Amino acid sequence: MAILSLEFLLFVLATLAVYYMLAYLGAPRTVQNLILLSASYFFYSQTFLYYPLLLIAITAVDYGLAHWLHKSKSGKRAILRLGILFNIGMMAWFLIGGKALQGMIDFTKVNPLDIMPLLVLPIGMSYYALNGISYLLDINLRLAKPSTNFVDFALYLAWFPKLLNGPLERARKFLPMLAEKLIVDNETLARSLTLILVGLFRTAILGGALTLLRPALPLGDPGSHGALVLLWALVSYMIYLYNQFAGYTDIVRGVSGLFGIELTRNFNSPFFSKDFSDFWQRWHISLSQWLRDYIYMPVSRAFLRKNPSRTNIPNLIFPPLATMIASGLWHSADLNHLLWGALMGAFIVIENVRMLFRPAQAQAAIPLWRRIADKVWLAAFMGAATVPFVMDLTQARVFFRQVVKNWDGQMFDLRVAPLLLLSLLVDWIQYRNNDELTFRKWRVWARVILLAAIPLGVIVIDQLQSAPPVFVYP
Amino acid sequence: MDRNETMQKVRAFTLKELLKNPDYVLKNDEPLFSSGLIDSFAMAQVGVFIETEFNLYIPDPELTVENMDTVEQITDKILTGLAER
Repeated sequence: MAILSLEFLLFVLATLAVYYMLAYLGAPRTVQNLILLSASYFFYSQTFLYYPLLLIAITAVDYGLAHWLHKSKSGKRAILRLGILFNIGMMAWFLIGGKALQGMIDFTKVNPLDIMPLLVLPIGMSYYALNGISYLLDINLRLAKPSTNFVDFALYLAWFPKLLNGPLERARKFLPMLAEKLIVDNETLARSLTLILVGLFRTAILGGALTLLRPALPLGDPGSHGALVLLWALVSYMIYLYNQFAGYTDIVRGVSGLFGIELTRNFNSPFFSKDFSDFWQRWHISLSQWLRDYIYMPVSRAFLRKNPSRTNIPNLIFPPLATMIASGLWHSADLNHLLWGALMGAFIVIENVRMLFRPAQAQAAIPLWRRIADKVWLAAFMGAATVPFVMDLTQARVFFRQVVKNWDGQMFDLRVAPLLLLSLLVDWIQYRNNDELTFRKWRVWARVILLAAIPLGVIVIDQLQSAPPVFVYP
Repeated sequence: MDRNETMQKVRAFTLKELLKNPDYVLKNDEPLFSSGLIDSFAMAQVGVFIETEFNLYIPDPELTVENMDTVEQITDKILTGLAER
């Protein structure tokens, strides 16, 4: 069920109606949560009928392991390892199984889905595996207690707005919301609806228009295009992906807010980052924080305990590389994502080394030229690192060869420029006001125009498209 | 250990190991990470410093810029952790 579809709208409205009616009738919160869980499983079953069963099985294992871990006196480490292995194992099974399946489809030309549905990567598996791991780790660190309510815990893993593409949530923040009395006041309602509107603008209008113009098409055949066309296509792709993902997240956060459940912000004007570290605090924030808390920091601390000097070479190199390679493999278990992760890790290493040789200086005190140079360096590196994220290694090699050698004057598609600028303008307004919902403070007439123009734009773009786009990340 | 003594240790560590500049005029409520004075990757050093100096383990998810942005905040986090032990 695509979120940009009439089916999804009707599904949300129906679930909201039942949920609010139960609240109005004074039903216990557990009953309301049971309805939300049933709705989430129904939503998930629309992709594949057996997916909810798989999710229930994984939920039961994580639920049991959490209690076992909490009660255990001497075997905590072993239980924790078992839990991590189980969640990673499930993810790896489907990631590798999915590749094998694709190979089989390519080789036999026969779709083996009917005989091997257990090999297809369930959408969202990468997310609920990480949610399960962070839950167990938090219990081990005594940051959380195991949930004593199976329905609540199952809802934490399966909550339909975040099930397919995140954001990643921490159980210690999410579960208390499920225990509270449902309160959706006017402010929450207004915030949620504004988020949905902003999300629609990004994903349906900007993303939809970019889909129609297909500016990233040259990336599929880099050998036939010159440097300018390829670089323009790369920039267009980055902005397209950003609007699709950020817009999707805004919509699901808004939908979740209508149920009184707040989800984590996942993007914060990433193209206005000061540096690389700042970028990862603004792009796919929930994943970056997960990687930081559960891989980068523990690995860093383990190295620093052996040698507390930050200039020690292993301290500088291994934690960022391990973290970003894990991130690459989480996105997809293949060589080009491994390379993407390694490049990202290498960039952090370079940044860390640069920081060692720079005198301590607040951002505001850094000269303008150096701030600009930092941004150019960031943009150039991020652009280069995105290449293996988008295409396989053979094509990536061709891409770089063309960019270095082929400046033949081919002209790029300027029609997308206004869309890219509009995307940056929306970001800039949010960044400058330090408020993602700053549009709510606009004058009434401006808000009325937005309220009318965005749904109209969504309808127009929808009419021009053959099918509603289905966003899946990674 | 009282608050002043703890704060002096945190200050000394920040100036010597994080800022690498003992002469820097650092205010106790001056943002370290959010201002860009120190990059957030250095947070792991703060965690290990607290482990070795105060024998206190602060879990990684709690070593955040929101919790540990100033000398005062770091000091308070240490004192809270020691009191809860």
